[in-house]
Amino acid sequence: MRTTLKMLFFFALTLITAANAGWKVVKKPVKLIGGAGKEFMQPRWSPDGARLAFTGAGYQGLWIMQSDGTGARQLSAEPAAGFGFEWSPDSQALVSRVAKFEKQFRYNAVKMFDLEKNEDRLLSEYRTFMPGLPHWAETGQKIYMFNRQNLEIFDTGTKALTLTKTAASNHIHFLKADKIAVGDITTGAYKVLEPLPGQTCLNLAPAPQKTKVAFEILGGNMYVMNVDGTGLVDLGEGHRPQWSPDGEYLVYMITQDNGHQIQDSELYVIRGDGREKNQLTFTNDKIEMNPSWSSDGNKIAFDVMNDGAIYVLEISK
Amino acid sequence: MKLVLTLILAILPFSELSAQVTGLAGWNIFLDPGHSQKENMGIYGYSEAEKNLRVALALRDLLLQTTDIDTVYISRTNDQQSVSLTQRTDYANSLGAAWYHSIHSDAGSATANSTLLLWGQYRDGREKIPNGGKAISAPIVNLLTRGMRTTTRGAIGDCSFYGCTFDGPYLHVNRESTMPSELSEAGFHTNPTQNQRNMNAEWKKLEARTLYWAILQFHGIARPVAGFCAGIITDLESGVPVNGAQITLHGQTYTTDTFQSLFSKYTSDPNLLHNGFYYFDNLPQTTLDLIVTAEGYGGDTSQVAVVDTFFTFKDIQLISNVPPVVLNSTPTPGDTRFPAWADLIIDFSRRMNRASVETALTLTPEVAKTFVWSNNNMRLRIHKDSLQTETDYTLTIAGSAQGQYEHRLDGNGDGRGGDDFVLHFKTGPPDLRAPLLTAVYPLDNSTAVELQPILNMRFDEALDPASITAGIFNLERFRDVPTVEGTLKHYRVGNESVLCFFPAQPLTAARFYIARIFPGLQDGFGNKIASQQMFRFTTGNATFATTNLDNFEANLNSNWFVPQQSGSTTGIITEKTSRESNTNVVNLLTTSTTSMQVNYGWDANAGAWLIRQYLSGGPPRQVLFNSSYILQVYVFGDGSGNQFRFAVDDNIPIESASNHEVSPWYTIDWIGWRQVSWDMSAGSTGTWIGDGKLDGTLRFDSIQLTYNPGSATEGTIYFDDLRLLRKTSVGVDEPAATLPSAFALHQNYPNPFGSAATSPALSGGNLETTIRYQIPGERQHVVLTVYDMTGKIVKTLVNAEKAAGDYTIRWDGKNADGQPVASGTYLYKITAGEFVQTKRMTLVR
Ligand SMILES: [Zn+2]
Repeated sequence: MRTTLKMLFFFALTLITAANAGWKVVKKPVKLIGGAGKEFMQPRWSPDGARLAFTGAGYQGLWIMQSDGTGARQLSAEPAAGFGFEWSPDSQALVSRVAKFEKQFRYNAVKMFDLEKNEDRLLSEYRTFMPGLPHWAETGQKIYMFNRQNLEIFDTGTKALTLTKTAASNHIHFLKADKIAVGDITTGAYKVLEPLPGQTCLNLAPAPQKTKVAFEILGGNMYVMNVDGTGLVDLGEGHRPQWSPDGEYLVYMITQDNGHQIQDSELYVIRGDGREKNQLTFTNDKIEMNPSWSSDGNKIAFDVMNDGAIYVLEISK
Repeated sequence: MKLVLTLILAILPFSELSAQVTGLAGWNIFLDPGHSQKENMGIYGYSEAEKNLRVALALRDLLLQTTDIDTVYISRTNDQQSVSLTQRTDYANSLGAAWYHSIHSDAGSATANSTLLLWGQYRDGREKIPNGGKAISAPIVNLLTRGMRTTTRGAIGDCSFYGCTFDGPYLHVNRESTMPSELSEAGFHTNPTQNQRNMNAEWKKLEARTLYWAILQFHGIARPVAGFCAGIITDLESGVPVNGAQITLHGQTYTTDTFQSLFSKYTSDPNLLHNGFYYFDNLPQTTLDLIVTAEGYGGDTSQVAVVDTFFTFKDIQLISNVPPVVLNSTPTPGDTRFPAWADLIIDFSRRMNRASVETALTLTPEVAKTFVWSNNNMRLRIHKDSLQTETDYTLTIAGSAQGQYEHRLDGNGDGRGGDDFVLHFKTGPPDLRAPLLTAVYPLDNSTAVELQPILNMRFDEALDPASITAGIFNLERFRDVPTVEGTLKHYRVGNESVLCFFPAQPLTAARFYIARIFPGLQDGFGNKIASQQMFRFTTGNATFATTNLDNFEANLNSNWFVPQQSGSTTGIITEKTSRESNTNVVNLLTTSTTSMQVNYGWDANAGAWLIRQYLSGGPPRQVLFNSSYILQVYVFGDGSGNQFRFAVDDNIPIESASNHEVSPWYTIDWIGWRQVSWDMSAGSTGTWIGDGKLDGTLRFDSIQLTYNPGSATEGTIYFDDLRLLRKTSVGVDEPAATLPSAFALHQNYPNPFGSAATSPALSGGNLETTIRYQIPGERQHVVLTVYDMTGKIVKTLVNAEKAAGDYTIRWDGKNADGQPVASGTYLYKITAGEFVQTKRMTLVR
């Protein structure tokens, strides 16, 4: 295992230094929303590309706006509503794990935000212990979350989407505490994958085609793996990966910190096989973070931590 | 979770089992031991990161094993992981943890040591949402401060403490965690006492236990019976903690850390490290006998009443039973050249009974003397009339001399008290020699000397300041300026003197100068320099554009760390190491009123030595440059033979430790002021972390010092006027041979120029062209101006007196307001006396 990893890493390195292909910025970033006094972060494109959902400082609250930055609307002011939220496959709803605090206790619940009906729905009761995040199954009908012991499935009450890629549609992925789990929504069965035994996985990001996942190792690097557990690729240092719509590339960030504050962060793009690593931003005074790739493939939304604002930049290959 | 708890409880001793605490069900916490690996290295080689991890693991065990808490999460579990800040909060947020606590300690000067709690705060002063970090900070800071037995700076909102330039909170763990949060600083890992204790395994349990108690108190849960006793065993006379002391209490024995058991991991010096710390738990609430024994000490027996609410602290001071000995003397035994006029100094190993020593002391041949005691009666200075020169003397302290606790002197060092200390020495010849001029700068007959040199004259002994009269020194520009105006300063460094002459104006390019020291300088014994001394030099004609990095006039504390704050600093004696500002030793070439003073003490037994005097912030850190520049600083040397160098960060804005590059080491073999330059374009670099190549955008990182084994282990260096230079004219070494014989204005190069015509260099600096011109004969007033095709002035590039020479000037395609001008044809025109010439150039954007 160790030898294989080392070889893969070496392979990746040589390719990075040799390659000059890949994504480049073609238009400078344009600010969409935010700034001192109303800081926003973590934009995420809707699957149809029409809207962006985002959150405030500390992941408090949830907002949406049109992809040109107009029509911002607050969906929630709840703590933690902005951490790990997810768009529904039809772009008509969002799901998140919201929190409330009473005395020293934290209560978590799964909440769905229906944009068509403009209503929120609690899918679970409030619980003090909820270590999983809710995810949409691909049909859009169901939401699943790993609970204390098992997989919990919520019915959203919406009609199923018409899907062409039926083979992948039942596929689900989640973090079972700190391990990657892959399963089937119809049976609720899953298996746990341990690409790097004993290590803690986080920031799991399934590719849109559901064939690969990207993730980080706590205290280690960023990786890509096939959903059957094969084809592990070490992508080196990197955080908060998000896929391109064709599932070929990842956009992510590399941060520098001193243990107290993030001192710098820049955005990068890399191919899932470790080739074509390109740096997108090169600033000394701006801390670019939390990139998200638009569904048309040509835009990256991100935030600048020290501006408290959300930007979009255009890229091409 | 229940199953795991049961299993853990099954293997616990009965006493812990009976202490089961309820009230934390439905709650969990994410513990975050700050930093990774061995980051934030503390004094003596034990890092903050290692300490933080062990405190967090101990707290996790306490909570899981003794309470009904749902679970405890932790951001890292070993010394190998390197966990970024975003991973810490991403992990906690993903798990939906109820609470977040980050465990740290602080860095600062050697004397600083206090606790601090930092809760998340917005710039407008409100506590971060969700609230709670502020409320729990109060019990934490109270208990932590009592547990660490130090002072506190209190519990403070992080935006108030640091100052927020955005909405806040300031600290990442407060800013990005979705739950109540706070960060604790349990003292300073740069404090010698604190960090020697941090090395002890049980000491870290104190910190964990106070955090545990604070959590219970915050939840309104009664604290379980405490039953702890801890304390520090020290030597009564020296105050130094005792290694290997055995403390017996309630049938258990604890041995304080020793070189063999612990400190050898951090030092090769068996006498360097001590903490004297002991710890007992599971004690009954009653009065117990505490018995302390240690080799070389009288034993101690006392009683301790164990309290049930907190740690019971009991410190014990032991009295040595080793007879006092003489550790050092001046003169050393057998010295044959001891200065007849100098004081004699005796250092004892223990505090002495003064009267008994003074009565027992004789010096033969006899001479009138007085005694001066210091260092808690451990140092005796014998002040006396001058001895006879070149004479044998014997100093005797009889074995009847006693220490403060009536132990008799062990004069011959055989381990038993009661015998005489005898010191034979011989005085040397009287000083009959005048001070000797041992070094000058510029060197005699040197050429191409910079236009603003500090003339430096070093003498091998201290000069009598009264002999440094107004007319003692003169600098002449040969034949036409008999006296160049300037300031002569005298500095005494150790037993030597240096005279520095600061010319008031830049010297003239390509001219011959003569410096003279007239007879009259003398030493403290009236030995006078009888002949005139002289050195000569020729100036070059290279001129430079200067960009100041830091002139050290202000903001020293906000721009620069103290040496101990950098985790890279190592091998120092922290009490002797500091960074301060100095208003006496300054570079008079500029209008400087303040310099940066670095005092250093090296631990000669350490394996590696580095002081990283780190530029941490402020405007100087915003200055970016590349390897076409010269880095320069004025260094006031101590002649120690230790070394210094420059460090820069390469490949900005990519921040990475592997981008640290350094200059070669410069050996500080001079005293007084000296300009030191690192011409980065020449390509010579030193070895540190980086790849030795200056290939990207650079930023200043630090001034670094290191110990050169065999050199002085302590000293002081001053720095002034740290800056960047770029050549604006190309100098010539032999001016007489190559001075231009006629005026000339050359075609600019490159031409056309601009972003479309040249390759990009620095950001915004990708448009540059060079214009060369030549001035013959006498100094001339030269004006070189760029015009557009309508005859309007775009920018005046030169407007100054110029000596004869070959000059180049660069133009960056910007007008006088700094705005880029449009593509097109421009004219440039030179006027120098009667000489006027115009040429064209083309800018292509
Ligand atoms: Zn820290």
